[in-house]
Amino acid sequence: MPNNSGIPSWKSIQFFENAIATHNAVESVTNRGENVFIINRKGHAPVVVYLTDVYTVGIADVIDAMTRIPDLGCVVTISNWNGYTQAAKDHGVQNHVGVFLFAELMGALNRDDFWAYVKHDDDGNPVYHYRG
Amino acid sequence: MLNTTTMATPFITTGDNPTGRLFIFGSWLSSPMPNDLDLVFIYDDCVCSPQDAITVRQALKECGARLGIPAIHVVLLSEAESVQCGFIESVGAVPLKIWINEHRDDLLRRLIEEAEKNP
Repeated sequence: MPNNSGIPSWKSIQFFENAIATHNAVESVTNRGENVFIINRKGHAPVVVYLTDVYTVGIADVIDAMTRIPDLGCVVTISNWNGYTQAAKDHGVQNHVGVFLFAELMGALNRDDFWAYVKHDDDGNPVYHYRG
Repeated sequence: MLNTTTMATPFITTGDNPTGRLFIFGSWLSSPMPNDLDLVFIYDDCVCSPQDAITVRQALKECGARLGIPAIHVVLLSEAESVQCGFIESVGAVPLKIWINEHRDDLLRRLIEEAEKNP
């Protein structure tokens, strides 16, 4: 179940760090504190990730994170049952900030324009995790 | 029995201006000893910017801490986002002031009074 707190559990953070470290494009992960991580990539610029467990990431959450973290690259909500609103996603893309579920981040890390990454299904249709 | 569809919904106000609607969901509705308080603030972005909504969230958390509520989690959605994602329906959220009145929840009544004074 989602915890609604917005704050990832210790287990979620551990999962995040371990899983990211196994990504082919990742050199290392640094925990900067307050749920902010720097993902150092091979051959690509680092990505600064704000990790949350908010049930639905809204545009206010994205703006809040962008204000607090000037070098923000992504807002990632960790649980698979979480989601985001279209407004949050669109605002992020316009500002070169990715708004992702964890699985989407794994795809995005292969790209320079990671914020614009969209997963596609087997038929080539874009898959978004809009709540509702 | 709560009726969440026909009763007027409450507002958090800044001065005389209604800025949004506050709902409660999660374990507070069903548990006699909830560990946390889950709220969703649906703000009218014609009168309340996302930054203002963040301020409301912060005020609720600070007031809650002063009142001894251990953890308050506030989802922030604009009216448009709320309609688009059907959040209220999907989590079974209830207008907070209706909950307070029906259950005589004085702790949450004080929370709202404090937050409305100091959003």
